[in-house]
Amino acid sequence: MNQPLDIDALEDLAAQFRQLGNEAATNRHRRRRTIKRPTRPVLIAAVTAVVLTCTASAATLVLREGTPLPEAPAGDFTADQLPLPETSRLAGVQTTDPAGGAPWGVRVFSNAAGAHCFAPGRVVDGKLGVISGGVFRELPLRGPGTCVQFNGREVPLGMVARYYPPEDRTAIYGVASPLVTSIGFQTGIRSQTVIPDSDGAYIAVFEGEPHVRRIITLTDGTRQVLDPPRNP
Amino acid sequence: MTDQARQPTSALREAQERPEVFEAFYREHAQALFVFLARRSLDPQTALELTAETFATAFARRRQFRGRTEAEAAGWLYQIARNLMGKHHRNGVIRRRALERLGMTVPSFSDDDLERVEQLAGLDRIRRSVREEFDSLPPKQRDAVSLRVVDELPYPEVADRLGISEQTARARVSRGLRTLRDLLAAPQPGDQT
Repeated sequence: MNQPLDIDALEDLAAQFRQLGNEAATNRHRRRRTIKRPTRPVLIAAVTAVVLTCTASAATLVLREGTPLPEAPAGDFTADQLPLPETSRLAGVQTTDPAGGAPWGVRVFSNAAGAHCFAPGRVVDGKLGVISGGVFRELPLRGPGTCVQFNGREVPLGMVARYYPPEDRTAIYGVASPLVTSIGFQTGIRSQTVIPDSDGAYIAVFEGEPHVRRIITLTDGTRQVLDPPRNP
Repeated sequence: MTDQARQPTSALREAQERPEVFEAFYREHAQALFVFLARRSLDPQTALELTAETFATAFARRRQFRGRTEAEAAGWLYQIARNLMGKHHRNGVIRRRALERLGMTVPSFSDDDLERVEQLAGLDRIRRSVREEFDSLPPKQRDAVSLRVVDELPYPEVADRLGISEQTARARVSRGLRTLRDLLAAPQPGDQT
């Protein structure tokens, strides 16, 4: 049963299927025990309903929607950092926060120079914004971002890693050209692969400030590895 | 007793009642399926993602499997993989619906892994075959495929450069890609299914 596989990544998947199988088996045993005592399902359903109601109410209470953030004053940013009218939109890609709550997303737009631009945030009700003190505030659609001009294999994507002290999160995000098929992120304890969406946008979010090795896979199968220096 | 009845029951069938057995089914087929997909995508990471999504789909749908033997289970698994690969070829995206539903992540390869993948799948040899097949395409098809796929030009520009109509450009690219696709779809030495 436990014959090792030659490829570590396949072994990693085996461990995930082992966990899934064990969890499913445990849930199945629980369900069987429940059926033997017909009064318990009613009790469990009632308790679950109360818990869900309370959780939903708590979530509503925890996250309130504040007024949208105003646009930055003209002159604070150069034209290269701002979107052309009608080009700014929320990309389809989203990722969960390590502790749950509102997912993280990316806004994409084009600037006057025709570059590909991007800015991150939390997504609530299809809007991109920031969360502070339990209040969600939408970011202006015409807000600034980071821009990149793709240049074949030399510059196949734009990437920013940013640490958010209030949330103790590191977000790595950007846009990739069609040359990029996937972006892998490796920390000491986990690996994940992100496929850029139809806009080329991608984002991964980590707890704290981990050292993250990034592996960019191109359509021809070659890989570019970005291994930033470790924090002292 | 029929021959089929004498064959051992697949772990996939057992996993319908005992999900903890699914890992055994995965271990039985993961490497061969991965090599199968790597030889057809020529990209190890794409093959790994397709492998992960294939098994995640199999796990989520294991109760829909109506066969019993290992051969039937393998056929069912590879059909899922072919469907996912077909969608990937058509749309250029890998569906991760089952992986996301199960909360799974796709690991990345280590450098050692990549060397083993190259050896196991013999990707160098297949890439050479594709290159040779590409070089042997009729020149008109080869030029059209090169402009559309390698240079990623839109069809109107491919047509302009070749001095032909857009419809003809599309037909030449389509015929050229079909030839290359047939090469990749053909059974490869060492394929297990």
